[in-house]
Amino acid sequence: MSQSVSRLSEYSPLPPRPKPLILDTLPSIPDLEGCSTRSQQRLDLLLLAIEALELGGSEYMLATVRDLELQTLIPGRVVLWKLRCTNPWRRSYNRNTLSQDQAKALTIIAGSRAKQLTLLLRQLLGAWQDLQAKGLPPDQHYRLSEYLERFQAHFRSRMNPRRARVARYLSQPEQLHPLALDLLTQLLFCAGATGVQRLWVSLFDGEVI
Amino acid sequence: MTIKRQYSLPKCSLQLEGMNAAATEDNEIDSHRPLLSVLLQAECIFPDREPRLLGGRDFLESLVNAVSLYAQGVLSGVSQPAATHRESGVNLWPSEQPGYHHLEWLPAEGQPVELELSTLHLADLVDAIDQFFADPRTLPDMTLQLTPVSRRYRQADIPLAVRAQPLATGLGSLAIAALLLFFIPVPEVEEPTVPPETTEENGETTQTDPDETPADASGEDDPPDADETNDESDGADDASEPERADTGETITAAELEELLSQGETITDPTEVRYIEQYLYRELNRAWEERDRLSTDLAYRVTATVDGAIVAYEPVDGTPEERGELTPLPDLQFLPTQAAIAQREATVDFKVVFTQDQVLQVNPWHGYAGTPTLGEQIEDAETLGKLQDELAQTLGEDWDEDVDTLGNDLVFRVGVTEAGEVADYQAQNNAAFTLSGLTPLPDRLEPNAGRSTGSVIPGEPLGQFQVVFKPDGVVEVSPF
Repeated sequence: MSQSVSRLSEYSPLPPRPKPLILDTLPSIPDLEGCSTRSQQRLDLLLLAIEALELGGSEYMLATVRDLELQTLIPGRVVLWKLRCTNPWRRSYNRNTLSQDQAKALTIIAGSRAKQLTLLLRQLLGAWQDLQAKGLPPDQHYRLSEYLERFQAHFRSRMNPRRARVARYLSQPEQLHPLALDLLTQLLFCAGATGVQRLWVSLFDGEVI
Repeated sequence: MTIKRQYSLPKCSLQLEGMNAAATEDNEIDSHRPLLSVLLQAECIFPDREPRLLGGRDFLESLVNAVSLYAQGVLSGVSQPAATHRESGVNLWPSEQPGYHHLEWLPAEGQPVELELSTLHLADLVDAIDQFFADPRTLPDMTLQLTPVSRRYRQADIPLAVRAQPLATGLGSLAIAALLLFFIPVPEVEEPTVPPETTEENGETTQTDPDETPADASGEDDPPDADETNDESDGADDASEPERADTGETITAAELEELLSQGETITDPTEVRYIEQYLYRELNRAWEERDRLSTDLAYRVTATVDGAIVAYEPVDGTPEERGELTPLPDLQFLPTQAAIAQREATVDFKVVFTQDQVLQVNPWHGYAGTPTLGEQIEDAETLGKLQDELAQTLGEDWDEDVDTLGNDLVFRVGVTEAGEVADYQAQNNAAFTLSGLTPLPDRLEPNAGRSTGSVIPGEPLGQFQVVFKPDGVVEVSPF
């Protein structure tokens, strides 16, 4: 035992980086080791909606990782991508399970990006309500239709069309609109003062005793 | 002196009026923001909605709780149970129009108030509440309580002893039945006796007319020839019909139907068994909400050689809509056009999700023979090497801390030449029930030894018997 310790210190002069403190803002859920596939799917879809909202969304996510010092959990884009591929709908689904810390990191990224995008989220949801009042479909608004189209493009290119659920969404362009609008609503709720905590706890709805 | 606090957002503002119960002249002057510790009145105003919501502390508490729970439901999509609808206080539920929410305030005395709120109103209300909680100088005795809702159990949360109980009682009754049947005498088999006359007649005809037989035989041969040619032409017609159907670009329900009814059936018992094991593993892994079944749910499931579920239908009176309680909708894959063109072979299984939370998977048409283990590694030297490796890797992950209730866990484990665990199967009850405790599920490489698109190992495997002992020892021997 002592041998292996001394050997370790020989090769890694730097002490291991401590766990990011920001993770402690979210309570660990007792008696659960990892996340359910449903939570993993929800986290990835929220991040997908963020990518559809802003061009270069994934770059902003990586910048958020650096700003919040989450590099110990997400050292780079490949790891971020791998964590997102725990969504079972993905073409490149890797069958891994997110640990609570990994899920916390993704939750914090989603919440922090949503805060930055609050204004846009309010504009889009307001526009959707105006269209509803006039009885028009959601793609009649320029900025909203841009979001819906980009979301659909991302969804089509990354999700596995052989999954029956995904195929149903892809069968007609309008099928994805309710999901995309739902994700906008969820992001707006994440953007509030304790939105990240609310999102985190909601991930385990129906998963605990 | 009353203290006023206002939390304003574009579409909602929350106003609280109260006073400091422990106020003295001194500490009032000291602090710019006196502590609001007793609430006199709470008011919730939506600028473009009438009327205002007004009430005391019970209103504020009820509003805060109802809005927090509802917001969590909006985020998670897990709808709140109807039981949370209270006789008095604040209730929230989604409107029929998407993007709108219905808020109802039923005061203990006075007129009820109802409001139709948009998502933006609701989000601002949530934020106003968050700001109120974040303010340490206003009602510090109220804190935000966030906990995951719903009491549905995950599979892993149910103690193994409880899950093993139905199995144990089932085996117990089987043992009793076997004991009782032991006393019933086995019926004696009698050889069917052939009437002696007919054999004699046959013998006579062959003996007496030796010259006629060739002629008879050739005469009889002709008609079958004609039949055979007819059959061939029929077969050609059959083959050409599906080709015409294949030219459609999208997969319609009719095409799927045709694929299932006319496509080839997998009959090789070894292949069927590997697909069955794969399905069992996938369904067992994905079946999460086991306690929600009140009856057994039975399905006829059609799978392809890559283990993909292409179709399923409820059987044995299982209602259609209960499928949502099983992992089947999530695991169903649509067959590709290529599959239809190639008439991909399929095989049917009967899958039962029992209310005892046990999964059963069996071939619908049974096995057409005895399943084998597929090709096996014969080379003794390789086998010896693999055996040592397997004992070492499994031994690392197994120790006496694991509680097997005093049982040995016996498995058959198939290993590729590269040492990857390609397949395993429980050999006794304890192993079947407690396989989750062993390192095998983690060690299993679902693609090891298999070509892509197939769950059946293409390369020979070394088969070993592995026994996990309660004292932390792993024994590996040739199977």
